[in-house]
Amino acid sequence: MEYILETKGVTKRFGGLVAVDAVDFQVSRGEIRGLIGPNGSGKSTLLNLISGVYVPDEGDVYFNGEPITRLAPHRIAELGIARTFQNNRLFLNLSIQENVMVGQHCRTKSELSHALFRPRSAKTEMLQTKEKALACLDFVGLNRPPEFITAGLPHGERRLLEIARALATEPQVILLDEPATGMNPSEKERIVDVIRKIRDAGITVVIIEHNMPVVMGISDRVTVLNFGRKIAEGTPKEIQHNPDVIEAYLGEDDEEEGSDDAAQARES
Amino acid sequence: MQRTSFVNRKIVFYLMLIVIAALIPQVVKSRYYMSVLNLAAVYLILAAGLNIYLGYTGMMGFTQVAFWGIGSYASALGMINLKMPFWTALPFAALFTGLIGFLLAIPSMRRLKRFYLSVTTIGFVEITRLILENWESLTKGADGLPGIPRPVLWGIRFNTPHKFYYISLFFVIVLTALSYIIKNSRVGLAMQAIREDELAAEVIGVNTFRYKVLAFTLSAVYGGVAGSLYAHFVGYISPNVYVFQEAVTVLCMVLIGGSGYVGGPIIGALLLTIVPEWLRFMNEYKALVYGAAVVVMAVYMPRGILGATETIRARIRQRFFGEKKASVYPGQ
Repeated sequence: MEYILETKGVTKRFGGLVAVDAVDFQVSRGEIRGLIGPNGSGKSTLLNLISGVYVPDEGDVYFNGEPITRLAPHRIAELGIARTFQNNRLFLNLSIQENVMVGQHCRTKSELSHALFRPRSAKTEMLQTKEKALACLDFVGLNRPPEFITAGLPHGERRLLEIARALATEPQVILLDEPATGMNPSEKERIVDVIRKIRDAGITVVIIEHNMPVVMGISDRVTVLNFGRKIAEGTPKEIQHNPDVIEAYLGEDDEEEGSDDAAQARES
Repeated sequence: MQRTSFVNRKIVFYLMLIVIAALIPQVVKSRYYMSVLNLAAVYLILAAGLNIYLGYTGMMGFTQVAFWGIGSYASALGMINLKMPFWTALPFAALFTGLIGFLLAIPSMRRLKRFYLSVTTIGFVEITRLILENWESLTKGADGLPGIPRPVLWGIRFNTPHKFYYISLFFVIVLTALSYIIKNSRVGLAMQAIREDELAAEVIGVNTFRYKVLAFTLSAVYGGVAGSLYAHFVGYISPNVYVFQEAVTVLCMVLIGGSGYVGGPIIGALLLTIVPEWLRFMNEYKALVYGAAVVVMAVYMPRGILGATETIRARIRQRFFGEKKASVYPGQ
């Protein structure tokens, strides 16, 4: 069987630190894959390697069987991998609709020459882009006037907007970096619903999440990283009883957040 | 139905502005003031070019003054040495400057970020000036080029500030309209996304390198047009016009008017060329007032005059043009 997304032995070093160490990571089409691990275990770095923000020192990344290791990030987005960021990276001075419209950029074609010499076709495309953007906002349930300037959005809605923007690229895989962080329980529920809806729309989801009830609740399979290495992989149930995982979370006394997560993991 | 009438009102409004601008030479008799307005147009076009690069795409640079110089010399030499008419020399200058901008952008945009890029652009300004000064066989060096011919169209020689004003006004309108079209196009939106967050733009599918090169090249084209107009309006050019200080002036125009707004360079350029004329009586303090104004602006109106008046303008637009309700804009 061919995986939609696969890394083979990817390694990334920052100076002396090996952030991601020879990780083999396979994601099947249509699943929701959780990616967990204590702080600094290399989860975000792995996402950055997949989306092309970093180039791995060793190893390769494959998308639908094709290597994408050295492609520019915008090319990878064009192929069908979208992502959100751990700390929102929205276009704050643009409206929420415009934010999502930028996501449509790689699916539209109008150049300046169209705007100047074929204004009709450029205008039609712009109208379609606007409508598509509204549909994406609607999909994640962001009910604000489209002209609303993004800088005024509260945190929870910013996360939704980032997801809407990623969806506007019409991805096959969406990588979500801690989408539920800093959210209250009702917002968390909302985001879980949105993620399920994304999967139901046929999009494969890879989600990094510290909140154990969330990640264990929605993931089909979970991969655990520690110190840049993959230490476990399996269904949420298997992961919760894996001794290596429990040790990774409890083994370090100075890792306060990590032990909280483990406690949550056992509760859930 | 309602909506179309509102759209028409907007067009009527801008047409009225153009008509008023076109009537100015009939009212202002002073040659001197008309010269000031022509120079304001040159600065306006320079600032509009910088606005695409700085205001839309969010990159810092001082190259506008170098493009101005290159455009001036390309146009003047095109007319003198190659016997081009003005209407060929101006597009030639614009394209030539655009080409230089493109060639400069390719390596700089690939490698350099933020202030390293700004410093490179300062270097480019100096290099351009030194070339203009030392390539004596072509540019006549520091003596400058005198006797640059005036434009002629349909038998009319545009040899007075009053006549030349119509040429300036024409290019101001065309290039402002172009700025507007760019800003509201798919490409302009991508540029603004780069300004807001370059990495995020790249990761969601915007070829940031391509649009940064495009923005830089467009600003060079604007610089080339401004240079050509300047050369044929003044009739004499020399390398010491295109100095770093002028780059700062153009930068201030964009920032004070409101960077990223189509109208920003218009307000900024008019303000910074006309107000200093009123301050002539206190010439020795001019720089002081100027500096203080920039500081005050930077602290209290970081988004320039148009940015500071955003809410009021949105209300006016809604009232007169029936535009959608003002976006909720958080305070600065």
